Amino acid sequence: MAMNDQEILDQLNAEANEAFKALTIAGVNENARKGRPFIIASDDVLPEISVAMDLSISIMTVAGAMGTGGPGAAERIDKATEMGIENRLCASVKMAAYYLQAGILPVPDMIITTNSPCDAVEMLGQMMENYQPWAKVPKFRLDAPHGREAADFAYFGSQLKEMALAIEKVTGKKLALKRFTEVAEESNKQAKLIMDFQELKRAVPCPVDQDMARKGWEMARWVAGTDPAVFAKATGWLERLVEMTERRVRQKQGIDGVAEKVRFLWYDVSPSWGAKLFPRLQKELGAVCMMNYYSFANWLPIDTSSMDALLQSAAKKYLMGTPMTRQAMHSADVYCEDIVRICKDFKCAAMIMPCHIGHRDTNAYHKLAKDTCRANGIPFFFIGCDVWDERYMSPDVVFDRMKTFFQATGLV
Amino acid sequence: MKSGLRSEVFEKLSRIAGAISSPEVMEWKKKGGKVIGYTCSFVPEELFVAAGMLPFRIRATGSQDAGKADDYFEAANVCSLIRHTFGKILSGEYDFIDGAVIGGGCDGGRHILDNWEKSPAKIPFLERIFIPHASNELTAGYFHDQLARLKARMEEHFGIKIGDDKLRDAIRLCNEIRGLQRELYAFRISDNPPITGAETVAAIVAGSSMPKQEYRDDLKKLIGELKAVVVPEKKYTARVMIVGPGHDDASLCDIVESLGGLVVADLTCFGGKVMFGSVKEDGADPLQAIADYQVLIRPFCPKNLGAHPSINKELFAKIKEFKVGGVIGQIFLCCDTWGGEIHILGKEFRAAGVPLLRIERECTSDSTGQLQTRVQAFIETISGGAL
Repeated sequence: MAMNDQEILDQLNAEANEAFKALTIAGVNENARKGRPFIIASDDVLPEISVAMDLSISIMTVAGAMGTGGPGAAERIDKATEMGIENRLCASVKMAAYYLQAGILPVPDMIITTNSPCDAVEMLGQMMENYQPWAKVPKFRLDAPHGREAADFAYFGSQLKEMALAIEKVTGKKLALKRFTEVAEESNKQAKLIMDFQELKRAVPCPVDQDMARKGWEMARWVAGTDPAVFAKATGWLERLVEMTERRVRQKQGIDGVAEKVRFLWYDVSPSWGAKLFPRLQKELGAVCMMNYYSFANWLPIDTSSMDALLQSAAKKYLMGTPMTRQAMHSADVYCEDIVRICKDFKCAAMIMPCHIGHRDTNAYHKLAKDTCRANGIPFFFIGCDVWDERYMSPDVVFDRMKTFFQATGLV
Repeated sequence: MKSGLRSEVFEKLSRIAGAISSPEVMEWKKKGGKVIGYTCSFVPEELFVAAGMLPFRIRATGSQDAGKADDYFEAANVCSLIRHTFGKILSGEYDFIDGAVIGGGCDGGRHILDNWEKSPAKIPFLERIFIPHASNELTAGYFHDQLARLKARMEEHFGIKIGDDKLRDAIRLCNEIRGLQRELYAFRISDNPPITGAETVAAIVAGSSMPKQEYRDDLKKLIGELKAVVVPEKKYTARVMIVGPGHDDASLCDIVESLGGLVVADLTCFGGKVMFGSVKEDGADPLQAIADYQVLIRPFCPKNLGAHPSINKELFAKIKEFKVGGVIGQIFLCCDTWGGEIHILGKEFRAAGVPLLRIERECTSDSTGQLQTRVQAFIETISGGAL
């Protein structure tokens, strides 16, 4: 018997949640035992390369972020502060620093550090490089430029090439043109699916919770990075999501149990305590979040015409399409133009600026974002919370403030 | 800044360092000279000197209030040095500059440009330059291209030509100044130097705030005077080194030195970092030589991935050479890069038996009382008794 939409959603969520275990601290330790060359990166490294080279790459900040949503998170974050980590540092990086210093991470075959997307990650990279038990582990450093011109993409593409050569030297695995092309083609298929999902999401009422795009993105990028077999599975996952969403749009069905009244943009990452906020906003106020940094996932296609084209377009995809790197690494124009485009394309009646306390970039854009919204007639609301630590501002307080804002602006 | 140094030339340098604009800069402008502001020590002054301009390091000296900058930057989560610097820009204190180049050294610093562009503080020439975060041939090549682009934009905007000969002259002048600054620093190797840490900071900061040739001549004169002076016998309770960002004002040095200690060395963005080594003078491409210097020779900044071993090496060499008894690791709140670096150094200092006082503070000197108590306790600890 065919499954109904709720059953399909439940299944997609169950598969995603199962896959995400590979990203946790326990998963990182598991990944080290899978028999593939095992690399730890400070932040995102393109999965197209790791899949094509049959590697397992675990990401420190992702493990940290996953940890902030788990049991005992507060104690571990505090422990990092006690260890002497700067108090106002992003809590996901603090958690990652705790994992590193507590000695509970396996020794990788190689480490890759980067300055993307922010100084905190760069700092984490310094800590990884100088962590004594990893002193002899080969290292590679990726310098992500802040520009968005062809020269910047070429520069980063050259570094990706160097990175592949460095990995080959350590692991013996090669970045072969044929395999890299196959993986890029699969990646392009995923990109098309996710853009299809974004198009479908424009429908009123919103057919499916926007956070499904984030889950698809994280499976295809981060989980696939740890296990190449997940890469193709992520395509299948996205196909089922798009198929179901198409059907719901045709039937003019909104999110189950939600009487949509207002659509808004949550312009930051999805908080680890989001489950305590967004369902309440939907159910109690009819306020539907249409987009966050990760569900935006501006996937760019990879040019498969030659090895150089693959590397340079992959570089562009990394710099302009990776959530947080897109928003944090570039000029304020990118950030502000995205606000206007997302609000227009997805009919968002309001822009919420959570302004995670650890995001130095967003905290530098306060007035620019507000002025952009004002100029475009978009009601703007600034919160100032910690997306990884609900003790800073509880989900209940965030809910109350957003409710007051929506009511005061007449949106609900 | 408190100083016991009796020297006209020092008083001049100290006055220039203690304010933003100065009569010397105004005189330069009166003669038709251009002034170009810049942030971050990785933006090479040589390019501006070669353009016949006065490079002026944008800073927040003396600021007690970020003012309108806090409308732009969220006060609780962005480094105070950035906010206060931008506050000075908004208040009009930098209206005398003809252009500015913003270096992308850190996240907060980069966004000065984004906010400046959209602010009422209009400036005719405002450019950004991306400073690499890793040190290798590829990154040095990228930085060269950044400099070439900046040079072309300067030439177009100001209607000038910056030739290789002018670049080579500028390199020689800046190298000479770096050499003199190192000579000035070296006075404090002795137990009883003729110049204090606070006085040295002032003499170095002035160098990025006045015409270069004039500064070179003043520095030579000051060094000559210091060599000749008979220093009265004085016993310092502790020899201290300061490590961290910023340090354009001497308030922390003042505290250490008012308690009987002496700041003998530092590795900060306005101090020890700016005078390290030299740009190659005889290279075929002077722009590449400048890029190599900034990216390969002096990557003493935790914004550089892999910089820590060179920071460690430089610090331990200075600790030995300057007979440092303890280190103050200064972090401005929300400075992620230095926050991490001081954490890493803390472990190494502990292992080596080097006392470290870690201070997280705002860039202003408005919490002096609290700082004084902590510094006093630290000096007592390293000097082995109550002051």
